[in-house]
Amino acid sequence: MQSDVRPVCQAGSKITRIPREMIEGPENLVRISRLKRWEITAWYQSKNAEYDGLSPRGFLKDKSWAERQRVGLEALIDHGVLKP
Amino acid sequence: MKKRLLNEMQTNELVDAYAQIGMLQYSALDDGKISKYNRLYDEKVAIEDEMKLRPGDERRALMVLYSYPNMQVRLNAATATLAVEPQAARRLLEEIYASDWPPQAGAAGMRLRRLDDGTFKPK
Repeated sequence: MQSDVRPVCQAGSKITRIPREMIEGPENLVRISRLKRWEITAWYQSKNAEYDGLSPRGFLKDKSWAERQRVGLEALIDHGVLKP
Repeated sequence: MKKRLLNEMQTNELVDAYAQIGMLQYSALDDGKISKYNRLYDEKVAIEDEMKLRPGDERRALMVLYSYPNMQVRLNAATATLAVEPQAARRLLEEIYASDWPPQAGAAGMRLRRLDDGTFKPK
């Protein structure tokens, strides 16, 4: 079963003033399996040494669109959803 | 039973506790219990910090977990030893990434990427 995900999520978008249209636009939409969506969502919420002990979501809360997009796309690549 | 302080535990006891935490994290991820995973993460870091403080930096002792039969335990051990045995730790991360075993393979991939681009500097 497929599910739509957004590489750049809404969390913290008010802090960084990322327009809603960018978050909800078609360029920020990828269709993946539910299992992969669960796997990547769990990764985003889990504390992580690479992010100074924060979850990626917590780390990215005040980061730019470019940084959030980069991490989002890398997560999709490294979890086998997108090709490098 | 009274919880023992980390600084009262022998190295092998810390390694055992570390492995136990990894297994619990693995189950927590399987069950979708991320809050539990994150609480266990803090316990894991506490052990790493204790081992780092000891003479000679005892994190090397975690290398015995490189062949542990649990992917999360291996991932944790690889990450924790990057600062003390970078080549061996990296090889293990690469193996985990190549295994395609979710979710640890994805996490290993992200870790390798951030090592290579310099944004993750193990201490």
